Amino acid sequence: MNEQQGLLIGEHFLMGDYAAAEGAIMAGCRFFAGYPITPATEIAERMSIRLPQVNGIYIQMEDELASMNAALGASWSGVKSMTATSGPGFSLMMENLGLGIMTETPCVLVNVQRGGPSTGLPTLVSQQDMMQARWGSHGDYEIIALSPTSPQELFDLTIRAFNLSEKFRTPVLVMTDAEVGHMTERVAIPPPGEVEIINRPQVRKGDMPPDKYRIYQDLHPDCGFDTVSPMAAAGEGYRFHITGLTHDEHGYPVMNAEANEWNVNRLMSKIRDHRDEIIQLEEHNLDDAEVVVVSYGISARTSLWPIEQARNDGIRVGYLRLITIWPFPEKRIADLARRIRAFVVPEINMGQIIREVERCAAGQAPVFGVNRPGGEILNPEKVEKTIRQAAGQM
Amino acid sequence: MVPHGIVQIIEERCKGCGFCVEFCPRGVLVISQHTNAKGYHPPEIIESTICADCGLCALLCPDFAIYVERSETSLEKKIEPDTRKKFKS
Amino acid sequence: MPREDTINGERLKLSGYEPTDQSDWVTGLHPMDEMLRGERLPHIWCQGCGLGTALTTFISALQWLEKNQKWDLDKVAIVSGIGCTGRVAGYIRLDSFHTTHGRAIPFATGLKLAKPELNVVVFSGDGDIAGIGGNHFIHAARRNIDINVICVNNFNYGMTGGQVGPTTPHGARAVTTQYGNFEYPFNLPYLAAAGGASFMARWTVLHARRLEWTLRQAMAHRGFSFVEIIAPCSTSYARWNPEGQGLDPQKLRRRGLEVMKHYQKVGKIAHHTHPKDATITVDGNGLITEIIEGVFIDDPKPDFQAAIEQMAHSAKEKWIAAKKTLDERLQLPGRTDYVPRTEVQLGGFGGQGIMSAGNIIGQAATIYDKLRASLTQSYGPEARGGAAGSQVVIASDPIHHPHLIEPTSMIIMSQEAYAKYVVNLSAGGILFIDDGLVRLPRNHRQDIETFGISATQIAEDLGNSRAANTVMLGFWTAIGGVVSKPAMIQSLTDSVPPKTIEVNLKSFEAGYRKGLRIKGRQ
Repeated sequence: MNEQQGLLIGEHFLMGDYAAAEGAIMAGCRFFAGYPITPATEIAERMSIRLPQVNGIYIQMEDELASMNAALGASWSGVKSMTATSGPGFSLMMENLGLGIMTETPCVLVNVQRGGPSTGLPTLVSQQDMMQARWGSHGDYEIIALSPTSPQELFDLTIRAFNLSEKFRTPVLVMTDAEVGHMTERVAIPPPGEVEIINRPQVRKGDMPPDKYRIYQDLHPDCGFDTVSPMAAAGEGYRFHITGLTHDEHGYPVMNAEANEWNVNRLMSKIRDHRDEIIQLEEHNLDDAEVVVVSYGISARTSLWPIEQARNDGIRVGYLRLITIWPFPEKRIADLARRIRAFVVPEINMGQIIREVERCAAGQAPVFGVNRPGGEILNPEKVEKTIRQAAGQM
Repeated sequence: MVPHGIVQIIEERCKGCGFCVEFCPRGVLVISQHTNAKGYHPPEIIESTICADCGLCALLCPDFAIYVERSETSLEKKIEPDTRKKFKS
Repeated sequence: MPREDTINGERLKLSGYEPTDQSDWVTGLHPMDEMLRGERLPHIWCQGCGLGTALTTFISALQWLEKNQKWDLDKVAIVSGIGCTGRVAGYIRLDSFHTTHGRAIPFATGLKLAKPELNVVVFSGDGDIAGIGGNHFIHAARRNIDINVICVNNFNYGMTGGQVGPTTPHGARAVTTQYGNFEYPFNLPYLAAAGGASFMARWTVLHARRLEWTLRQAMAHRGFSFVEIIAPCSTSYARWNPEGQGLDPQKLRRRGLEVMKHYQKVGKIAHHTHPKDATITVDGNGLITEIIEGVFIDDPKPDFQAAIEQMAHSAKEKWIAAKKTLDERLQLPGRTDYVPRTEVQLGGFGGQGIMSAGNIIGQAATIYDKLRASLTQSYGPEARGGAAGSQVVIASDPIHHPHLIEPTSMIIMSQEAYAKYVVNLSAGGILFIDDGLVRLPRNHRQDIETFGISATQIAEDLGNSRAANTVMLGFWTAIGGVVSKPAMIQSLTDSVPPKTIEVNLKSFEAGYRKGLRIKGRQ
């Protein structure tokens, strides 16, 4: 039985967490290291059942620190790898998410957000880790984070997360939540042929003379790799070195400001330069909009109904959903800010992504938040009321 | 026949830790009077004939500054600092 | 031409970064140079530090394995953490990984599991392995994963200047225990043994030859092997403790050597000592008086690579069976009539199959009736006994709001669920209860329709009390269900364990027929 036959395809009534696992397997993930934590445990459970069926490895590590590092290690053996967690584990994974970023190691981290802070509200929804996703590890870096609204999209975005992590040789976050993760809906899975799968540019034994190989080749367009340098795996004879220290093209530590400038600029520009390709938005009625609702994940989905109500009452409401949260679509917000009356930003936290909207609106348009801490999806009436307020009706 | 070794010393690498001199079972080496570029006193062979090629000096040396060759294969040769061959590939 | 770029306005030339080679290290002069990254040497370790010797014995062991056991050194990967020993990875010409502090072992675990043909070695210090990384150390030993852990123990955190560590002897001095360490240290081989490691040994770097032999053994050992290398920290630990003759000016330049000489006096070779007795003894003021050395345990237990392969075999068999049932699923035409947003609340206590009942409804609605459905759950931490609720929203149009706003039917199987949910049922809605378990109070709402069935009793009579929820589903489908019966039957068959399909179908039918009778009388 070859691996292809091990793929789940067709229509299924699938929990979001399970859809994430099946998406990862479809994307080629063959290693999962994780630690049980509500509401992400079901991803680990599904992977523990399914990975052995496709020649993959599931291992439950002793904590989230170990899980993140095992995923990085597996990636350096040339295997697409993943871990999944929720708030408390996400915090524990920060340092080694940074190691993955600095060493440019592809892997995917799914964060099924739950009420925080601390142990918070394990079985209930929140979107309170959005800024931690961007700034959680120490130092300057860019990160890619996607946010789904349904089990179907969690399946699709997990595949996209793997493709982006392979293409840009960086860890990618899927920022979902307890609501979408524990919701069960119809998930249509296309046969493998119809799904675009991207694999890292890889250097295998004999592809080039080992001493010619640079593990962090610079990004000159003329160096033949448009995004990142090819990645050797352990055991292929390249005897490369990687380190979390500031390093040079060989991966050797270099302890000076100039090397750090090259290093950090490289890490940031490889994502910033490709923002247009990475950023995905869903837009409705923005052309004539006077009020634009900017949201993401479950909050974007539960705003659709109040938006419909407001539009029926003649308020010209536009809808801008951030499928990609990070990097943030700065230009899109700035352009809109110049010609609309106000933004409304519904999110299940006390105001996080709203800060980015305000920053990019730069005072050109007021920004109204619809906020509540964790525990419950946003109340549609509250969203509708804020839309009316933003439209100057209240 | 007791094996016989020729001790080769790469003076520029030595940090003068003294391990080789102290633990050579035959007392082949002493701390030299001269120093290398970094001011360390490298070891010096005072009695080359009694080296039994046990290789302990090479194994103990933390800086890859000393090794032993089986005598019949090579003559004693002094490593001159200027026989430099850069690593560049 | 290096590419221009602007980062927050400032023009920046993104040139490639090839550092000028400051190394004055001429390579190719020493037989081990081929195993070193010449361009990165001389290494950072202090005069008289034992790390150089530890690395030398390791390279010597590798070269022996390559020559005598035909090892392909391309397949050896070395992982190290942070600290003086952490720098080993950067000096040795192998696939090398310099990870974060304490996390070398989990990284190595991932590396090894994903590519079992690799020989993975973790080479790190006492702080890294037994301090911050202690949890990973004992778990790796417990797993008996086939990696080799080499821990260079110089009794303190050297790189940061000589602070006390998890192996600093009781009473010994360190930068942060200048009045004598009041804590007690780990016995690392004993810790590894307690974890479950199948090979452990300890040598001081003075016994370089024996250490090299042991490293050969450890590398070739299948399963988790642990080698503790005691090495002098000539700059910090040896300055604070009598082994290095403390601040004695004459010895100032060669404290490492004094410590080595001390090892010669206190080292005691005792192979096959039980690790709990393989102690490092100290006197009153923390001076080491005895170090038990040797190979303490060498009994290879099967590492779990074989178990993984065996597991994969049975997993694939299970998948082939599962895939067959999935492929043989009946394709129903689905409904074409427009179904407005319809909300169902199921409630009961954990263990009554409230979640699976919701799942059966949702699956019937989507996969077989080709509608849209969203199932959400609410339950406490208790797996059994606590309140359990699941909600299903069914509609033809996309479901924007997955939670219930106006539930029009409720399936309630416990008194607690009745009290909790019935108040939300919209006026004119239908309440289905297991009237064997739910008693309607006097002030039961009159603005709704209520139908009872003794589901649990019926299910017990049919031989499986756990099918009570299925009886309720049949009852609900007949009277108020928005999902077609064929879809429910097919979804039920997919969802219950194969052995119980028959009793579940009977239970569904019993509930369904009772529902039809009641509906007939209306």
